[in-house]
Amino acid sequence: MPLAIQVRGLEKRYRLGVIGAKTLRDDVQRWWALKRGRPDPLAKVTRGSAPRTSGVVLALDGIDMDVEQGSVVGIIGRNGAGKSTLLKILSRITAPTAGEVRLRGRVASLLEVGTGFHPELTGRENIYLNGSILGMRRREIDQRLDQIIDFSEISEYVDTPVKRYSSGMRVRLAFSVAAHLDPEILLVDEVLAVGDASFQRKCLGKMDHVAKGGRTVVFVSHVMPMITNLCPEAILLEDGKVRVRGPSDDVVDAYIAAALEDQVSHVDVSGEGTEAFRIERIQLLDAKGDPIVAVGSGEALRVRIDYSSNLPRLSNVVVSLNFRDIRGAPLFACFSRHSRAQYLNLPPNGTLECRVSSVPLLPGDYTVGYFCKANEELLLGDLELFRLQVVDRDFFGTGKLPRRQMGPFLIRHAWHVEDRTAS
Amino acid sequence: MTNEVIHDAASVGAAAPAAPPSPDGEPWTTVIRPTASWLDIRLGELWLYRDLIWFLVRRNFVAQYKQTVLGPLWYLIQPLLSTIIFTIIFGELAGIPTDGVPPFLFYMAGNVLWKYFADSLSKTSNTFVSNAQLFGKVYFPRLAVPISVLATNLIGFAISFAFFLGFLGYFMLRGAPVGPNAWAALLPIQLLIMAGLGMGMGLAASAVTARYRDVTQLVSFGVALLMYATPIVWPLSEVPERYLLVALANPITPLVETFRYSFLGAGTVSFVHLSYSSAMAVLFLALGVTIFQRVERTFQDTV
Repeated sequence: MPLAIQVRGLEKRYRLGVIGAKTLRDDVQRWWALKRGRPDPLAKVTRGSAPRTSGVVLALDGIDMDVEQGSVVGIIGRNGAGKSTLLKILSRITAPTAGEVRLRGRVASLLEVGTGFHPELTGRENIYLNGSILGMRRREIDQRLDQIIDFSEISEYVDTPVKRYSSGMRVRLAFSVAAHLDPEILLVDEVLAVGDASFQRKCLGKMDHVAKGGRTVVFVSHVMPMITNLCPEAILLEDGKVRVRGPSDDVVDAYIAAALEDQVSHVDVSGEGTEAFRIERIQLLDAKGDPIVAVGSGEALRVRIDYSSNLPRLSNVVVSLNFRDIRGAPLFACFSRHSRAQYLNLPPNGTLECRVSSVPLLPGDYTVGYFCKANEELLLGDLELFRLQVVDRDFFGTGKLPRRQMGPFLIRHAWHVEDRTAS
Repeated sequence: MTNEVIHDAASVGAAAPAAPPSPDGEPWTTVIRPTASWLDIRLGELWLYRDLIWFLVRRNFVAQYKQTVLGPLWYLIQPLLSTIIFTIIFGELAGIPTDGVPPFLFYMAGNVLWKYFADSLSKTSNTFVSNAQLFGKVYFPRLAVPISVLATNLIGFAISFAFFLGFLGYFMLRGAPVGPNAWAALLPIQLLIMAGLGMGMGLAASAVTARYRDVTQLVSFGVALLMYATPIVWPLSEVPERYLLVALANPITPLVETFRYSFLGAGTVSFVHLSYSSAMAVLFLALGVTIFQRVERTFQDTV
């Protein structure tokens, strides 16, 4: 099979200091400090897993990768391993620092759907605008317009301005446009994980369809069952390098093994996030408010998130903690949209606390992701925040717990008996 | 369907010059490398995205008038109000001569043309800042955005210009000694030169504002000042000999003078001056596009 993607010695360096500068004054200040041999006053003081020397983060550190035409390859790795950077370079959003990528055929990315939608334009006008942003010619859109509208299930509203659409309708329309791109190479990011279930199914169905049609798919995810189901082959990235490549089952096992080695509760996430929502500190507390490193099955858990934001105010916010098993399969979510009647309005600096009255999980390791939207705009997308260790407790008061094969949950319940023999 | 593939043909003019065929003979369609050569404009790719430019123009225009109360009327109100104010302040109060042309027409001609230049500059100068979200998520030739802005401005200019012609006709009927002449045929070329100057400066500014947000203020301030260094409120004929070269160093000066001469019959026209403007337009455009494309490749890392 000829290659669809060839990557050679790909490197991407981010200079940490540079990211901070927003005004000329900042740069002058930095230059003056450096000239006098002082440390950069604006350099971010963060600790993270990415390797760095003197303020340089090496997000990708010499990636070599060949992807044959018609194959479906999964890319896995922890946050900061370089997955997203790799996709950004493949989709030409940012340029590499060194190395080379060669591609054969049109590339489309489902990194983000609905890019470039304008609220004042109608659904139909936005199909044309969005389609042309994604690289379709007007003629192509004309040909596929009916299919796109059908697929989106919004045909009655296609001449209504998009600003009157519900967010669900917007997503459906946007995905519908992207789904009809018909690319030779499809790049899919884990952003899909935040869509609703039917949207996810549609995306996955489309991926499958694309792959069966002999097209190439590169799929980035931290949901291991999706990787093993959809991708025969996977690549594990670690610290910007290809660590393992092979059949996806083996690669996923290697990833999990590496994750388990790292038993220390990953609560040090300072500096994770974006300017709009930066997580300063995470604390796990018990019911009394004392810090803990592990929670007992069925016990109360309080997750405190200290955050900061460069926005004056965060309004109409919804936040969610997404609990997953170690393979990445979703278990349950504590989503403020469901549990609160109103949106949250947050001060620019503050602490969010999620109180779980009982953690209904078997002893073991879980991961907790976080995401946060303000005014329906994603501030922080399903970031894997920390690993939650659940330890053994006598949940039922019988000294017994179910085996893991029966499912990960512990639910309070009781069995009753009624005698019907007399009647 | 795949014969419509954009990147296929795109790479012919784009990254392809250095793209060698792969082992099995079929060429690579896209090669991504750290640094593009200095003048890698990829016009071929831009041409393939011409539909996008058209849809962006529509979006700009529709969005502009849907979000305002008066809609496209602004294209009439803005030049009318500025012209009235200029007529009162510079014509009546300051008494600056207007080459024998009715002051109202003199100022309106300057205003309509200046607005086109000022918009071309200031609206392309925030290309990166106002499209950061879009640029972070999908690839397309970034130059499509400023080009669509220029085209949108052209629509605005056409409306204001028609309005100006209406006033011109009215004054001519009333017997004012004004009227268009053969030079008016040069209008498209003048607009092209003007767009080149505005976009060149705007692109260079956009690259700088991508990094330093505070330069945005400098741009709007600079545009306002530049207007007074351009014969908008004064005619070139009134400039004292010793300042003449300074006034002519401004590449927009000959364009405004030619415009006024072609439609009002008063002003200074010279092919030498116009050639200078064209040369400057090419220079600014080359500089602007080059800087723009340097920044474009790594802009996402600095947001």
